Amino acid sequence: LSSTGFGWQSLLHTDAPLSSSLQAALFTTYDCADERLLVEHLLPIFLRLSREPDGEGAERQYFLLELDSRLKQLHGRLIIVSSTARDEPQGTGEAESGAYGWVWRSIRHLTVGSRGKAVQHAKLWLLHWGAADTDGDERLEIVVSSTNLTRAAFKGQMQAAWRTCLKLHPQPSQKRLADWGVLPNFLRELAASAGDNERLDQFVNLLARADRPQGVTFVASVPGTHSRQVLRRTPWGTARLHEIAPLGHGKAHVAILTPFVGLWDPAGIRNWCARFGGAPDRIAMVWIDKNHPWAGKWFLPDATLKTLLELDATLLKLRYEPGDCDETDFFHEEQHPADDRWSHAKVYSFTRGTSRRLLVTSANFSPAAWGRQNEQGELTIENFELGACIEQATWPFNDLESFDRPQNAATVPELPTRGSALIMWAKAAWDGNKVEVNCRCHADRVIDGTLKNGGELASIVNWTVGADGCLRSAVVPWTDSKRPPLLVTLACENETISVPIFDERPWREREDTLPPEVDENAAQMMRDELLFEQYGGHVAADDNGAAPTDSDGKLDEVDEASGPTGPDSYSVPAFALARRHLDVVDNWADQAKRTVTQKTGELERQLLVHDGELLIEAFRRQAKRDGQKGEAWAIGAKLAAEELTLRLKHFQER
Amino acid sequence: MLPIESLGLSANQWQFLSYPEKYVEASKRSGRPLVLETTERQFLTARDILTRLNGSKGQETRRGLLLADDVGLGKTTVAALVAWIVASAGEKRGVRVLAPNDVMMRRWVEELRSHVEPLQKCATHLGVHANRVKEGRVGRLKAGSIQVVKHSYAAKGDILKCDLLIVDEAHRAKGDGTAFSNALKRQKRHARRVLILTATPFSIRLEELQRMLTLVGGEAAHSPVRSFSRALDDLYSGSTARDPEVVAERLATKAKAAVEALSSFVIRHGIDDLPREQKSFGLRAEWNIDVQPARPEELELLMRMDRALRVAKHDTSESSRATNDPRFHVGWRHFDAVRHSMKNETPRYSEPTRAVIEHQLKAIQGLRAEVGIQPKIAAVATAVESVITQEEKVVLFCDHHATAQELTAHLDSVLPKMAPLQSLPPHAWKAAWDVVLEPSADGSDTEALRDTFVKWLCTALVRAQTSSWLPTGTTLSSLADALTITNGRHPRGPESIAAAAQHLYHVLIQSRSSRAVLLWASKYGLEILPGANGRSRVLGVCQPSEDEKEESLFLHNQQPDTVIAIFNSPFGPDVLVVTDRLSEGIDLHRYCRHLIHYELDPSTIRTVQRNGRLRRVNSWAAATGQPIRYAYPAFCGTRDHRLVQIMKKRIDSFSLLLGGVQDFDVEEVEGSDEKWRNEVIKTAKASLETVGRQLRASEQ
Repeated sequence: LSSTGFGWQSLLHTDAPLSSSLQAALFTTYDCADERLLVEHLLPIFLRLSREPDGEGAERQYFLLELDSRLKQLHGRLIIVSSTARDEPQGTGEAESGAYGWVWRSIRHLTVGSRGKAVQHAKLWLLHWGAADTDGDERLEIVVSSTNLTRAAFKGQMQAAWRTCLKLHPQPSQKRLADWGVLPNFLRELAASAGDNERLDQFVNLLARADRPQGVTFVASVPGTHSRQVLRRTPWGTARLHEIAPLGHGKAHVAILTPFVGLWDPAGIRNWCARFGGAPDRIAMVWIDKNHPWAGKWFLPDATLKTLLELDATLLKLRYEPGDCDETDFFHEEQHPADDRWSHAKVYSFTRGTSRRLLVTSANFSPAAWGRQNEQGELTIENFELGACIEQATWPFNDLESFDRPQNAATVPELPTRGSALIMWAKAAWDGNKVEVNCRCHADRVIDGTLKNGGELASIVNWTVGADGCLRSAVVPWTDSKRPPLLVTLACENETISVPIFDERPWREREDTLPPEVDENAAQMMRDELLFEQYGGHVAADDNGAAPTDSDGKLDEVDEASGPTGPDSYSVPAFALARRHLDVVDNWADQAKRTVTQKTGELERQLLVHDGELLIEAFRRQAKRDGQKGEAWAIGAKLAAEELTLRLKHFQER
Repeated sequence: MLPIESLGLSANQWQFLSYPEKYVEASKRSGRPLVLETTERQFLTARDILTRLNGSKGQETRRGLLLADDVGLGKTTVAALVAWIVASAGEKRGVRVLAPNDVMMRRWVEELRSHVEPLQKCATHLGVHANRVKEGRVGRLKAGSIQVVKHSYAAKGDILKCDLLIVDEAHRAKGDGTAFSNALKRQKRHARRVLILTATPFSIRLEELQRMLTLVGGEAAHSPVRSFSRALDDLYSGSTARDPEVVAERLATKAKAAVEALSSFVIRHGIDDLPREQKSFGLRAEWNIDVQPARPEELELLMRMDRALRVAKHDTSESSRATNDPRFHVGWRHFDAVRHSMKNETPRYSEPTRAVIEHQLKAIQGLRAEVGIQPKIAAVATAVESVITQEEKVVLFCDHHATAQELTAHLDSVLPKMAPLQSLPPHAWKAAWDVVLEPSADGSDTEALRDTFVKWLCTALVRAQTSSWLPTGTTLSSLADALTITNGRHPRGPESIAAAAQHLYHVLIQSRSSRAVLLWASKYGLEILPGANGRSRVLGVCQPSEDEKEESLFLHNQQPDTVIAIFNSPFGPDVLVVTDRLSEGIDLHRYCRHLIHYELDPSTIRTVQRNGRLRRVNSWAAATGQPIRYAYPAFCGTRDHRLVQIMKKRIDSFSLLLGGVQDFDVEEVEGSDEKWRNEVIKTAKASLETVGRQLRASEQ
């Protein structure tokens, strides 16, 4: 199920070459993304940060600043789409992750539901990697899985995932785009539901530049009631099943492994099976008994079990016997008895004859995911779901035995309800002058809002109500950049949601806003060092200080008495320092040259210009810092700033 | 390989070497007086060599030996004595000497001839005669003759059959495949014995040392020598994270094994291991020349040029120019030359490189207008002035021609000119010199040569110098007498002014090239003679600059014999600016005890060789009882200072490591690594000192 090992971080890696850097990314998740997971695990890997988050003192500060810097570079190009999450009453999540709430200033957080009720349940990652040094190719990495962006999903659950990393063609092509099947439209629908129609077009464009991997078919669901006509054009949900089951004569079989089974009636199951040429009695569902430790995690309504049994579906038992490996069925050859993770994987194995296809998806075996068909043939789907169907010869559960006593299967009388969300969608952004809040709420309900930044900043009082009575919007003047607003809390009756505020100020203004944990006094110097480091300068570190200078600041006093704090090079420190600074300029210039020769993307060009401007300022500051030891020390940084100004001007004029 | 035939010598034939006092006494009349303490050691060395080569006193007969004494200890003297004895004793034999170049060849001839008179007195049984010394090509080497030829003579393919082949400066023959190297391999078969005079053993490349050992039949030493050589490599290139004591012990152990294996084939004395002789070499004293540290604008100039060159190099990869050229740190002349050529080259660079270079050159132009004389040149000029006003001579070494040119020109512009006394007109001087200057004893001079030499003695500078040494009140009538009783430059100088002139004349007419120079001067004018043109007290022995106004400041021929001879007299230029062409095998010590390393070569041995020009037997320092002063001025704040810092440390350990001190790139040397190395050497010092002494000559 996972080809890269079985650790909780198995999914947190990339197949892109080391020299390529992330240009943009889309992550979809059901649960609201856990900021701590993002900051401490996911972003360090995908942003290729050079520091660990668990450092102390200056190392920790460098980590935060490096992350902040990379996020600012990719401002708005990292997008996370989730369902609208209501705050838990105890609020532990916020308390734990709140320290990292500042990441939402740069990461665009979208929720679905702007046009009506919708659940975002797909787990899709699209990672756009810039040109690698090795081959000059950009890449698109696609991950389809069952994994939410929460620590629980990574650390407490087992997931199934499919991953590919594709080289991008320089130009998009409609033909290539069409070959991706439902995936482009899935992205468009997702964007529309998030109230930001064109936001995901950049990813659609990437699909148009990539060749779909052979043998891979995407299966997607989008919320709504879809007519036959629509389904012919865009076969959402079950409408797509006939394209993924193996072709051939005879009934197709399906084996299902999902931790959640919805409430099905017999007709619904028959219809579902009919879509791929199967039949209920060819369903083999992997399940657990009441004693299985996952019993509280996997949900199967009593009624559905009854229906399945009546339809002669097979229930395969995933055995569990404490302390007895022989009597326990493991998910994976590397799984061990002490592993208390439960399966959150959603996998379907379709077989016809000897042909087998495997669907790795976010979709549980439920009508909400696959759709419920009415008599007119319309399909009503509640969730956004996405799966990738691939050729796969093996299915690890072939040897499971049927339940002797199906009544021992772990079931629940009723499925937990999602409740009816009063606030269905919301977004907030600050442009430096005002915070604009938009949300969708039940028409006849009163909504309260508060602007926050750790503490309370302002109440939102003047709401504008849209024509349908549901869409609400408010504008709160806010210009205080020393206390930038972090989130909006919206309350409707007993329901409260937190909406991160995206920072839409110009980049120059954004630059000065730091993560709250960072020491403001030291931040500027550390940021400068990190910037130098990014362009091949010395690795910024706690003790980096003035190396390669002498401890007493003299230019070249070297003697036995200088001790361990003395210079470590017989080359002249002021010269060494100058070369070090100018090496940074060279690296910037090399990248600029590569941008021109390889015709890499506009983003790289923008980043180079942006970094060039920052570097010039950083070198000017560095000259002042170096100059504290003597006038000669400042020459190197001065020359670097001077030359970079010249080079940047030239670069921008090309 | 031929069997080791007997040389047929008898120890009685060199018995006179056991009585150096008599020889020293005899040498006083030869024009080259010897010093007893040094002669004792040189005679001991000669006895040891002869004993080993002849297999006397129960010694196993050696095919050859390496004489690797420190610079200045008189290897040539020892080898010349051995040559005379081998050539002249009993049945007589043929000896050939291979010298690296013309200058050295002439020096060999001079050395051999200087022994004729003392040998005639102290070793009559040898029957030596000056005409036995054959300079250059000979038809057939007769028994009893000593032929002196250049290395290149051997490489031409002549069979150098002889009884003793002396190869001087053998380490100069670089590379296994060179013609000279191949020739030596061939000659090995035709020479019954080989005596190799070379630099400190481990200052030579391992392969060359091994080749030399092979030539003298010392193959057995290859393995321990290689092993010690690796230990030295390890000291300079290995990990410095190791315990210095462990490395020191290993180094000492390997050194001991190497020396034990070498002791059969190598004789070596370190100059610092000869306390009895220190006085005759001259004591050493620090000479600090304070140079104003580099100012920010000077550093900025250097950094901008470094940057401009780096950018240019990055753009085309064609430029072979050093970006942080060492010349930039010791003068502006080469800096400006590069600046001008870069300016002309800018159109060939692509953008934005062109814009960056043009920007840097413009900034450099502005800064150059701000900075004045190069501070190191200015400081050195001040120091030189203070020395020459005390009647001292100074030699300044440079690593590059451009630096030497700039230094020479600046010194000439600032040093005070000398004016001759009006009371003693030129004709009075001519009359006096005609009186005191005797014709050459061997009849090798001519009237024309002598007249020319006297005219030179009467030129403005020499008259001014000479009159400054004479007692106050010297008159026209007392001038000749005054010249014969007054010493030049210092009351304790080795000879009177007249004797010095006589000696100089003798040396000049003995040298083929100097005779040619005198002859040319007699026909076309004295300007070719150092010091004859104007009143300049400075002479640059380097590639002359292209500036016509500086023409008279430089030597314009490739034969520096005349310059060296004059510098070794009290007359002529007080200041000699030279490149390393004069750092090996040349004597500059007879009237000079001041040496300034204006520009170092990163090779430690080169620096040691430079110092060896002054620290020699019969030095001016020994004669006047004043110390030899070596100065290592440094332009603080630049790589020049770093180079000096490292070099001074490395020179200190040169002899201790038997010359195994490696060259370095100043920008690659880590301070902490160098400190670690010094710690290793310090720890191993006592052992290494003991080991090194095992190579000294002994009474077999």
